[in-house]
Amino acid sequence: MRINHLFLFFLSLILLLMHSSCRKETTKNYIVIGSTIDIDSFNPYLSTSLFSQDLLDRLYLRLAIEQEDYRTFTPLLAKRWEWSKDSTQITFYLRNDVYWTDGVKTTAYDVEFSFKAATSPEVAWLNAEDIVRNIESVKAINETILTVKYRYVYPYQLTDINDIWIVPKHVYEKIPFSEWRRNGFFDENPVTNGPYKVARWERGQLIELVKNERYFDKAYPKIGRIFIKIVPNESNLLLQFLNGEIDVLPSIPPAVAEKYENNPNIKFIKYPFLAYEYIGWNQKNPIFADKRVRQALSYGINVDEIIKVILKGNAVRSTSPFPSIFWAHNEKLKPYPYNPEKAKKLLAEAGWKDSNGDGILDKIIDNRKVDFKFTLITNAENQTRKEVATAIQNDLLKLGIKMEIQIFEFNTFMRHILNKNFDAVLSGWRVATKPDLATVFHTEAIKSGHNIVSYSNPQFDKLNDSAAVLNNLSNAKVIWDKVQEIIYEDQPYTFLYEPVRINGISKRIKPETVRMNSISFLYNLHEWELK
Amino acid sequence: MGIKIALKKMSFILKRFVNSIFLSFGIATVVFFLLRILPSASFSDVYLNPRLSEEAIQKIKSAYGLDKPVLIQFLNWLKEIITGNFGFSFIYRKPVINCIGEALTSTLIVGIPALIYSFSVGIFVGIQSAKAQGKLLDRIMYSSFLVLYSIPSFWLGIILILLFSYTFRVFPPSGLHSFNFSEMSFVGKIYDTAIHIFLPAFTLGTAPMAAIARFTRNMMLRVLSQTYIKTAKAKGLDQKTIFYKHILPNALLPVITLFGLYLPLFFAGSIVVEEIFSIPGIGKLTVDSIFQRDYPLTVGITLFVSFIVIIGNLISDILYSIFDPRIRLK
Repeated sequence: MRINHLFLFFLSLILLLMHSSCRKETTKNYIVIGSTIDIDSFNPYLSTSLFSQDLLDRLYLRLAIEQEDYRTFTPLLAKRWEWSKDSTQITFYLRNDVYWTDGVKTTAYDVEFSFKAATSPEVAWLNAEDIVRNIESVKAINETILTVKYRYVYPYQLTDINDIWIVPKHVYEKIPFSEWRRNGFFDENPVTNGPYKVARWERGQLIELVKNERYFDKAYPKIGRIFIKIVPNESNLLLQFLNGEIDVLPSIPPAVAEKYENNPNIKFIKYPFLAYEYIGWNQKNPIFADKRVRQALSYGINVDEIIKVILKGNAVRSTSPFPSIFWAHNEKLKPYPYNPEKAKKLLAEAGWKDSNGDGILDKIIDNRKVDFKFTLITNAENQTRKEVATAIQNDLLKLGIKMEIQIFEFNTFMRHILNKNFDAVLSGWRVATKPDLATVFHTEAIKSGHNIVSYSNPQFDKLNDSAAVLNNLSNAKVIWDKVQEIIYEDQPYTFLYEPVRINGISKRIKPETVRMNSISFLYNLHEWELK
Repeated sequence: MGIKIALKKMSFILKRFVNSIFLSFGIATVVFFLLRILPSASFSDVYLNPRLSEEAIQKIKSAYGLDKPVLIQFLNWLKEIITGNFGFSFIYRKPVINCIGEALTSTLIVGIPALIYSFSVGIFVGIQSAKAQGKLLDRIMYSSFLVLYSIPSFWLGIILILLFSYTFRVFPPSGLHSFNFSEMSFVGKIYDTAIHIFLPAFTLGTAPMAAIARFTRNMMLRVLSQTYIKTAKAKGLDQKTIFYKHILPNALLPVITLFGLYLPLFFAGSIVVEEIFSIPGIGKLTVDSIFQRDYPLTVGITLFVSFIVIIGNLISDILYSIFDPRIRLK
């Protein structure tokens, strides 16, 4: 009897809840962006995650807006700019109508201060090195005129100065640089000047952005209220997106996107990402020192099949360290076709034969018979990589190559890479918007850089150095093309694929107003409109 | 006589309390040194960026005191503990004690209902199962205890979300409250919080509930077979008196000890449940601090949680001695 009462009580409770949940269906004038991680800091100089920077770019105005070709810029905080005759100096003329959210005007003095912060070793900003090396000084002439002096002339002068986050001097100078990393002050009441401002931040829960009434362009933002909902669990996040509780979901795995392709309530936006996945062959290992072997490995891996089966077609084959959407990419290079016969021939030329008939190739190196056996390492957090590694393992076994797979937790993985303590590595690089191959392929980068595979080719070094400083991008492109041909021939990496980023948006958002690209998935958030 | 016993008890409790402080401190010390052996930077992203200079890395390390020898770092940590800050969190840029304080509130909002649920429902169904001993109902209940106990919480959590948030939109799938929480009335706030914590508390409490039910049932059956129950029956006492006076108190006594044993289970469970339901509590704080290599925070949480667990054990010992006069605290 008592149990029956209890049951009735719960039933009525559930009915009550169902009733109240139906009530919620009112028109929403805001959108919710889903994320597995929270913003790490509202001080852009302390922030490290890409997601945080995507958000910060909606809050802090830069001098100009980088366009999708990664070469041209349109005015933002700077109305216009002039180059000096010798091109070593740029004078920026700033808008006179930009205010910080606390009512103070944004001036050239803020930019001058920001440059100091960006280059201070005490702040230790992640992107400081190029700025320190290339820019001599940033001076405010008056409130709206700013001069930037460069140490020399090079093609990416605008890119570099535009990398600097412009922060409010009158707020940020209250805390000395050396104290920045030990002070929560910047996260309490962020003072910003972009189309949005921070209304609320509940750590690990949500961020609320609202229209900045002081924003200079009164027509924007179109959507006045944005919530960023933080849900660390990906399955939960996906369910909320399918359910309509979340309107924007970044970085959806290809298999998931394929499954819900025909769902009428959501739309997937796919775009190429400035990044590539590769296998790095550690050339300190005698097995991989011979370029014919590396070429053979590239011929022997069926990348098209990997893209088709594992990535469901959501990737483009990679041929060079410059992704195919990047202007410096050499379009004449065709991906290594899957050709196991050619691979076997090349391996035989390099001296690898199955002399003892055990199915594994071998060769005499330093008077010792060595089997073609090695270990490929990758990181545990990336499910796709684990699957790709297994596919590669199968392909190579057909050539008589025995590959083991070892999977590490990310930090341990990085330690192995940086100590060059591996045979082969499956990893990826995100590519900077200015062409720079020196950090990963230059001989000098073996010691102090990220040439993790210890690749060294003097011809490459020479050409790369000459291309990097050319001011005329068309002339530079000719040399970059040659540089890529050398890399293509040498195959220090086997270039696998360039991932396609898949983001989902709900049908409530007008898709034609949304622009997402490799610079940011929130590239034009202030222009988005609701249906 | 009574005063003497009370004093003895007090001094025992005090001794155990001081012991717990040292014990949890010892655990935290081990974790402190273990973390330093881990192959990692303090921030993974720092090493990922090919453009960060060696000088900048050094500056970052020195800003967090990581450039000093481990022993000096340890002494600095001791100093922080004495000042009551428990160290300074890298990722949150504030004292560890504040981070824990904020997270603890969220954990308790979910944890206390889960604790109440698991004990009340667990004991209740355990008794029902014992009462129906041998019958079909008992067999069904007993096997469902086993099933419920074995269900991993990450799976249960997702299934519950799928069922109650996705298919039937009854409960919200994540968070502690709605966007417009601050605009709600007092009653509205309570209601809003209640529907938000329902699923996580249920997920967190279900496995312990099943274990408690099973334990209660077994204890009940053990007591039922005792000779004093037979005596009571032979005396002609009515069923109610036998049940409430003789069976229940004796059967439930050992269940009290479970409280201390299950406290660590709730903290461990919160790591999974808080990740699924996005609750900014101790569990999520632990995971974040470990993945982002926020040493002071990880060590601080270890210190705190181990202290709570040890105290939980102490409390269950004390409860036991109060309820069972045969047990003496030694």
